[in-house]
Formats: sequence, structure tokens, C-alpha cells
Amino acid sequence: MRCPRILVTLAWLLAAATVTAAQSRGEVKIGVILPLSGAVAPTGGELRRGLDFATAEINANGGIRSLGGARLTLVYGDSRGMPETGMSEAERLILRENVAALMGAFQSSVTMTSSEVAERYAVPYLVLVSVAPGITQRGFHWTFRATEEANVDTRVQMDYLTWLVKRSGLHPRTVALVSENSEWGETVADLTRKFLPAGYEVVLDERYTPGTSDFNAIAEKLHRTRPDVIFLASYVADGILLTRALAERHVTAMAILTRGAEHGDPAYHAAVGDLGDYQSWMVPFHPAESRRQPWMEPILAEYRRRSGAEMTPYAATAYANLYILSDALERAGSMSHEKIRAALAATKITSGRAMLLPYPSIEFDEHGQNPNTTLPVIQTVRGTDYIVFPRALADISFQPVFPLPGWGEHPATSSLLQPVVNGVTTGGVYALFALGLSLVFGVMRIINFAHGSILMLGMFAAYWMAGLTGAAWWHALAAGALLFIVGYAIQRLFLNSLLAREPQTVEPVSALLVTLGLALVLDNAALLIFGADYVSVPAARRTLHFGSVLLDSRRLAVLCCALALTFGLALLLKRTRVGLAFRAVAQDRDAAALQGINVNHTYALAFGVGAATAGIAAALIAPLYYVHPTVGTMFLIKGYLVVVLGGMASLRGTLAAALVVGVLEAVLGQLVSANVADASVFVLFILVLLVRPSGLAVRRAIRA
Amino acid sequence: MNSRAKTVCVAAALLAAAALPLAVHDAYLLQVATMVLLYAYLATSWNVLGGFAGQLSLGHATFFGTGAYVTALLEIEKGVNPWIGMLLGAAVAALLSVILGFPSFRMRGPYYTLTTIAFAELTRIGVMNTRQVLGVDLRGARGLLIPSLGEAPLHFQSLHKSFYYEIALGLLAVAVLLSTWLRRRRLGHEWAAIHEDEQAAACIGIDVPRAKLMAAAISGAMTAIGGSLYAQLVLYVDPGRVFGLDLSVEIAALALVGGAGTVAGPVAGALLLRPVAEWVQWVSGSNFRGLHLLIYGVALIVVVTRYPLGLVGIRWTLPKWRRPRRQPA
Repeated sequence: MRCPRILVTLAWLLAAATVTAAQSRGEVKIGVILPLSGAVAPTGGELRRGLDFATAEINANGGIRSLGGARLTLVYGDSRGMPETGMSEAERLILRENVAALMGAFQSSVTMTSSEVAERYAVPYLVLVSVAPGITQRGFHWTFRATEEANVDTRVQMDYLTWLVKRSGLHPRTVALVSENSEWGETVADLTRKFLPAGYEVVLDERYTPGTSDFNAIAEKLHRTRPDVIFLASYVADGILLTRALAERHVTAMAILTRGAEHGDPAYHAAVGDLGDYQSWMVPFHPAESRRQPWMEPILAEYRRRSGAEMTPYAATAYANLYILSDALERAGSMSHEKIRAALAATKITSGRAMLLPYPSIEFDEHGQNPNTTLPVIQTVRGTDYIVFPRALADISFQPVFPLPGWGEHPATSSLLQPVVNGVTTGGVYALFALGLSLVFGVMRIINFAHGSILMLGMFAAYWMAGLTGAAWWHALAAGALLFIVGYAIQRLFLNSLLAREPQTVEPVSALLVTLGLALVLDNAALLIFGADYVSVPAARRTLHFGSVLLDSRRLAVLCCALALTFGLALLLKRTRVGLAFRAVAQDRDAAALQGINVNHTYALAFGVGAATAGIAAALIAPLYYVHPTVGTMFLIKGYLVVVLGGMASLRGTLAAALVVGVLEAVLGQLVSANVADASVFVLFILVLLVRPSGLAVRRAIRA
Repeated sequence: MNSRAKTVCVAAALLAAAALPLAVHDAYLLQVATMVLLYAYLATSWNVLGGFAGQLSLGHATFFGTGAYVTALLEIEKGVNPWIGMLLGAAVAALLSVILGFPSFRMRGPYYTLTTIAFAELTRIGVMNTRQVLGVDLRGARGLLIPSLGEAPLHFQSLHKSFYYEIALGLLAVAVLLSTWLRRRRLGHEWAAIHEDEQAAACIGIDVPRAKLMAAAISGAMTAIGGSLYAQLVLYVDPGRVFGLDLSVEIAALALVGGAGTVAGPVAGALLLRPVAEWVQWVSGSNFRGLHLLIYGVALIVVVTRYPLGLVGIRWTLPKWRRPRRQPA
């Protein structure tokens, strides 16, 4: 009986269709589309806080007076950062919630699709933050953007640079661009090239894939090309790793100019401390503006009181935008979309709370774009942010630092060995992660997709312990012990019954699926429990000099641990009774059972040991990366490629393959580009496939 | 239920579903329903390779993205009608899946799965970093914006959601019919044999590589058509999304939870899980981030460990502990 179930589902859909949202009088509904889950959820949360704050203020001050004191109600739609979800959420807000206007959506890709929906239904759409110039160049009638587009960012940045250079009498010539290669980063990099004043030469234009785990190659390249000016465009997670890599390699320049998407996020400063000092960054709003605009102070204080945090640029932008919309509603005196649109188009704001945005005035041209935008450039020096440009907004008492301290001091100590050394240490990270995968595969032939999530749990455990006791070496052991228990339980609860079902000569696909399910559960449960903020684990760091080769002490520790763990596991397999049991069940579990080995217990022990290695790895590499519910995915795929290249069940093979992959990436990253390095591992994997038509020679049993 | 009753039942369900836009004018609901149908269609397409032929692919986003890109690029660059672009996209995807199939089908079981992931990631990185290829403006990571033409059903665009809904429904119906037909053909039996035991299949004279490549080509082409529909529905193609691992995993998970290898399974999986996910999202608002993925994960674990045949394989009877009460000893 299959069809009735389909019918039931359809009936369910129909029933849901009849549910209609009640509409009450005396309120103005405004739909807001934001990424409230997914990778940029923290930013979505910031925007939401700003909007909620403004709503509470407006409603407390009598709502929209021309509508009889109607209260503002914000109805949120979660885009999850996906264009099609943004689209359907726009539809939901317009049709089911009957919103008077829409706002959204941070990511330009989502703004593109959701504002297209608004255009179709003739609903006013006020853009929040998205900077893609194309948004207001599509000839749309209903889309408005009060904030700046990427062109303006770039122009302000170039004016700032020109101003700096003129003041200093220095003559920068060479320029390097490092940007992430999603829609935003690409736009920024192209505009930077386009607006670059004459006389500059671009010596490096590196565009990396967001979520890249290794920025050493880029730092090394910057170190070698020694550009006078560096332009950066990164979101917070990549920005943290990039800033650390630059510091490790002592990369300086006359000026480092960033777009501020990383600096604008409080998580960035928590993670990098003073490493981001002296970079010049830009945000649509900075609390330091209140030093020259005393009227802002009560707003900021009230916000601090309510939310317990400083008003961030995104919160402030959202706050100001809601005031722009409420101003239009006030003048429209109607909930009709046409009247609100007309009022928005006629906007001319030069005072009031919307002026948190540092523009001379807020109005819209025929494209719906505010032509008067600008934004402050900020330089952080020893933990304090100073507005340095445009001069009308700047802290007069502060002179921007140019050239940066250390510029010209560090000689070009570019040993040819440096990329290889970087690669070997990165290989150590991969090895540390992949050992557990290899062990679990070797004993049970399980492809463990949950290994990345187990690593993530270990990193959160390390973060938590570091918060309690400060960084300590025994955290690695504690995390390992904790995850041993988790791993043991996972095998006992979920996987043993599956393995019992399968013939032992087969790699069970069902186990792969269960671990995939586990990964989804663990990652998203972590998102629910720990939230989507990027946090980091502090650790003491020293740079070791070997001739002209630099080595970070923590990376060296990771490498040593990877070596030690490989040989430790090898000893375990060869010399201990447990290891003997591992090898026995791996060879023939039925025969092993006949010898009196408890197969289920042994399997669980093996999975536990695999998870424990992930725990040790987590505690060691957490300070090198950031801690976030999705961090495991960064390692998982690469870890598997490493394991496959190493011959699946061989620990030594895994170690060797990890080092080879690390070096390959570092060298290619050096010689060609980060993306080619990224792709090279996959190409290597496929080449190995082609060269060995029978598939990789897979050992039947675990080997040291 | 005999097969005639079954046919009548399915036809009735189909008619009822086709008539839904008459009753529901809410574009949001139609959009959600369209996405549900699209996922059911994608799961059904995946099922040809992943279910029938038993080759667990976690890289189907490659074909989805190919369909979306070919259709969108041909329309933007050469002004090719997207209806034709859709067919060309399917052809390109079929060709691509055969080309990728040659090396990857040398691998078995989980190795094959890892290989599909590797190819999909390589494609994603490749597309996101390619500005121009052979004079075609690929726009790299910025993706493709398809100009809105308003009401133009001849150009695969409409202002009415029911248009996309009916197309998605039609695609799903065709995919289900095609699946049913294929399964009864010789090819379907060959796939079943390969799924059961590849070596034994080769021994009884089945051309295993050919049968697998056929499955890959059909599955890839069908998935690409889904990609074309997506591109026309959303009018923006984001390479990180359409070539992403998340999409591959979601398609496969829906089919597997419903019951891979059956015709009804993938459809049931998508029709049950997707609405639940949407509903949870809607009810919980944004307070529970990623809750829908958590639900997928739990469903996947429960189904694989308890009901290996998927939802459609569950015998819908009363739990055993209640039976004694009804059957006096």
C-alpha cells in the first residue's frame, strides 16, 4: 500500500495551505530576510539585534504616528544563506504575512533573488548591507539601497591610500591583492584593480576558496613579493587564519588595507588579539564616531545596556535602515505599497537617528541607490580603534600609522626550503587527523564520515577547558579520553549491529551512511548548543629560526605529535594484546571470535581509539584554527583523500601521504596559486585512480 | 493491491497533485511544494544510479550544476531558448557522467563514493575559479544572473508559481514512469544483478561497465534537467550552491531514507522529509538553526540501522508489543 501515503502527504499540503496568518490592526509588518542559520549566521544575528533595538525604540516612542500610532512588527525569514530559500522566504513574507515592505538580505546573492521577488509583487525592498553594484543596476523600480555599494568602498579606500602617500612622501609602487573568491571577494578584487591609481603595479593577485585550511602559502608569497601595499578581502573565519599566517611570516607593508568584514566581527579581535593591529579596515559604522558626534552616545549606551555588547557595524547599519523605512512610512501615512515606495523615493534625511550612517544625507537616485554614501576607514593600534578617513569623520588627534612598524626591517629571508617546511607542518595536521580514519577503516572497513564532527567536539572540549584552566598540555589527553568514550559508545550503539549484518569481506556502505547521519546530527546539534560564533583557543607561540627557515613552535608540536602518534599506534598494534585483537578481527572476525575475542568490544575499542586520536588532534590544532560547529568539514574530505592515497589501512602510508599532500599544496600554492593547490589534491587522487586501474591496492588488514 | 489498482491510485494522486494550484493560490506554498517536488525528482534521478545500480554517489551536484550552468549560459551568451538549453544541458551531463564514470567505476563501494565526492569538489573549485573558458564568460564565483523576462512560458519563465509547480510535477511523473519502465527492462535487471553481486553479474555475462555507464548517463541527464528547472525558477545560479557537497548529500539522503532501489522510496523520502524540514523551519523560526539537517541526520541513522529498506520497506503494522492484547492466546 504505497499510494495512500502519497495521498496523505498531499492532503497534508492542502491542509497547511488553508492555514492563514491572522492580520491585526494597528501594526505595520515589515518582512526581514536574513541568514539566521548557516555559515554567516552570527552576522545575521547582529543585524537582527540592531533591527529589534530600533523597533523597540520606535514603538516605545509612539510607533508610526501618521498611521495612528501603529506599531512596527518585524517578521523574520531565514535565508540560510541560500538564494532559493531567500526567494521563497520573500514570497512567504509578501503573500502570507502581507508585509508592508521588505528588508534584506546581507549576502548579495540572496538580495538578488529576494529583491527580484519584491519587484515582481511590487513591494518596496530596502537593501541591508549587500554591496554588489549590480543590485541597483537592474532597472528595478522597488529596490532601494541607502548604504554603499562596493564601488564606493573601493573609491574611499583609494582616496585614503592616495592621502596617506601624499602626506608621507613615500612612493609605494607594488600592490598585492588577497581576496576570498566568492561573489563578494571577486567583486572587491576586480574593483580594486579597476580603481587602482596609475603608477601602481599589481605583483600578486591571489583569490582563495573560502574555508581554505592553510594560508601559509599565501603568507609566504606575500613575504617574497614584498608588496608595498596589501589589499585584503576576507570574511571572519578566513580572516582569522590569514591574519595569523601573516603574523607568523612577519608580513608587513607600508599599508595593509582590508574591507573590514573580518574586523567588523567581534569574534575576529577575540581570536587574533593584537595581530590585526595597524591594518586599515572599513565598516559602515563605528562606535568611535560618537567621539565627534555626541548625540550618538545615548543610543550606544542604551544598546549596551539592553544587549550587553557594543553596537557593531552591522547592528548599527540595520538600526539606521529601520529608521529610514519608518521615516518613509511616516510620510506615506498608508500601508499601500505604492505610497510607501513613493515616500521612500522621496526620502531626504539629514538628521535624526538614521544618521548613524556617516553620510551627508540619505536620499535615493533614479536607480534606488543613495548617491551620497561613504564609510569610515579605521586603524586599530594597540587594541584601540581610530577613525582615520574620510577626514571629516576622523579623530583629529590621531595620526594614522604609515608605513607600518617593521616595514623594511625584516630582510627577505626567503629560503627555498620554506614552502617545503610549511608543507611538512601542514602535512602533520592532516596526518594527525587522518590517523584515526585509517585505523577505523583498517580494523572495521568503515568509512567514517563523522570523524570531522568528532574532531569538532574535541575542539569545543579544548576551548571549554582552556576557558577553565588556561591552555595546558594535558588538555590533549583529556580531550582524547573524553572522545574515546564517545567513540566507544558510537560503535556500540550504532555501528556494531550494522557490521554484524554485513559479510565481513565488504566495506559496509550502511556504516558510511550512519556516520554521515551522525555528522549531520553532531554538527547541527553543536550549532544549536554552541551557536554559530567563531571562537578560538589561545596558546603560547614562538617562532623558531633555523637559518633562514622559520618554524612556528605550535606547528612543530603538531608535527611531532603526528609522528609520535603514528609510532605509538604502530606499537599498540604490534606489541599489545589489544593491538593483536585489532589485527585479528581485521583479518577474520569469525575466526577471531572463535579464539575468544569479543568482537563487538574490540570494534568499539578501535573506534574509540580512532576518536581519541581525533581528540588529541583537536586539542593540538584548535589554537591554529578557529572553533566552530562546521570546522570538521574543512578536514574531512582532505583527510579521506590522504587516507586513500596512503593505502587506506596503513598508518605509515597515511603519515607519508599526509606529508606529501601537505608539501604538494604548499609548493603549488607558492609556484602557482592557492586554488590550484586546492584542486591539486583532487587531481592527484584522480591520477592515482587512472594509473592504477584495479583501484588502489587495498590491504585486507590493518598494518602499522 | 494489484498493479491495476496501483496504477489507478498513482494516477489519482497525480491528478490531485496537478489540481493543487487550483485550490492553492498562495505562491509561497506553491514555491515550497515545487521545491519538494524538485527534490523528489532529484532523489528519483539519483536513485537510478544510487539505488537501482547500487553505486552510492555523493557527487550528483556535479550534474545538477551542469544542467543549471549549461541552460543559463546558453541563454545569456547565445540567446538559446532555455527549453532547448535544458535538453542540451542533459546531453552534456550525460556525456560528463560517462567521462567521469570511466575512472570512477573502477572503484567499488565506499571507494566509489569517495571518488564521486572528489570529482564534485574538483568541479566546484574549477567553476568557482574560472572566469572565462573558450571565450564563454563563466563569471567564476559570482554566478550567473538570468534576466527576468516576466511572463514568458515559451522561454521557461513565468510570473506564476503554478507554472514551475506543474513542470516539477510533470518531471517527477516522467521520472517515476521512466524508473518503473527501466526497472522492467533488461537493463533494470542487469542493474539489480550488479547491485546484488557485481562479480556474479559479470560471470553470467552482463556487461558490467556498460550497464553502470548507462545508469550514470541516465541519472546524470535527469539530474541536469532538475538543475535547469532550478536555474529558471531562481533566476540566479550560485556555483557554491549548485555544485556544493550539501546538495549532493541532501539528494542522496532523501532517496536513502525513503528507500533506495525502489521506485516509490525516493519520492516518499522527499515528500515526507522535505515538508517536515520546511515545517520545522517555519514553526521554530530562526531559533533553532540547522534543525532541519539534524532531522535528516536522525532519519538517516534510524532508517539505516532499523529499516535498511527505507521508509517504504517498513511493514506498517502495529508494534509487536501490542499484538498479544489483540490476539488472545
